[in-house]
Amino acid sequence: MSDKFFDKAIGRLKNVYPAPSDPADLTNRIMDMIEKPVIPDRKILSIRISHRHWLFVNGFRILSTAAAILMILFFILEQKQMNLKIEKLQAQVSRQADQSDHMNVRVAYRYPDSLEDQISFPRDSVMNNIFINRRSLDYLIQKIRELEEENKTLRDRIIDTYDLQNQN
Amino acid sequence: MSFRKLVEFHQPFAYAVAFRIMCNEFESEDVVQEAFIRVWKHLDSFNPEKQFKTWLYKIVVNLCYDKIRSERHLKKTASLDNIILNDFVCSDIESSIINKDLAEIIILLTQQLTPKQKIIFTLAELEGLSFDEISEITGMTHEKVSSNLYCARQSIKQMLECIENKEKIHVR
Repeated sequence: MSDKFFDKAIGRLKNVYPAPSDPADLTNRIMDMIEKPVIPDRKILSIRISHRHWLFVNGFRILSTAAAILMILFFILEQKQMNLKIEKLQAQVSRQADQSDHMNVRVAYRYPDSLEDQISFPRDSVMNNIFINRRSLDYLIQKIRELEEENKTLRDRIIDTYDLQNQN
Repeated sequence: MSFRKLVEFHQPFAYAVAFRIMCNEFESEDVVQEAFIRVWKHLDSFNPEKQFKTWLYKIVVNLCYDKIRSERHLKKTASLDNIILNDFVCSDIESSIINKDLAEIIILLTQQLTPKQKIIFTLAELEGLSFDEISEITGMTHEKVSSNLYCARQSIKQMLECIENKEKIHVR
């Protein structure tokens, strides 16, 4: 088929100008629609009707989107900060461990100074060494001496008593 | 100039565009009605530096595009065989072009095109708009407009060829 035929057909088609059956009626209908707009039923804004209704409220949509974005940002920020803190602590711990390994020093549990009147032993029975501070040690020695002294007195008493009995 | 006068002045052109795309009287009237209501509602957003006609074109074309897309899967395409046998019974094919029915046949033939192709074909070939104007109305690039128009032309040429061949067989 030649392009001439196509052009001719399109040319004829161009000349056919469609028009509405009643232009005045169409105009009147348009003007009526503009002057008396159809008011849609007022929708009650309730979450019970349908949760989708809320999506029609632009303000709510914008607000909820903004809140969601903020929450996500806050979560990311918090996560980053936590990671930083963890990394910091990890570095600190590994540095300490490195140092103690290098110096061949054993890190011992140190009892608080306030525990002067009691001596605590580590619960771990496997541990052969116990660690005690100077003040507690002095206190312990003093008590042992007192006890020794007391025992000495008691022994003397007993001997005396026995001697008395022997005499009797 | 009152809005009624504006409607009266631009209504024929809006209807013609809508009819050439929709190929249906009632649907075209609906589109025109809806288009003018949109114009009324969004009159304050109209840029006076631009042509009102282009703006109206845009509204009408968008409405038509939405309608075609939504109704496309429901609408049964017209049977080509029936059209050919009913309308091309005369021996001289060129003489049969004279009647108004051919316009309807060609419009029916454009129903084989995709909505975009149909709109671009109507705007370029029937409305005689430039590529710049079509780009502004449809929001497509020049290349897309050009390729869609080429495809539409090829498809319509093939249809016309098909009609011509069938007609020749019918005459013999």
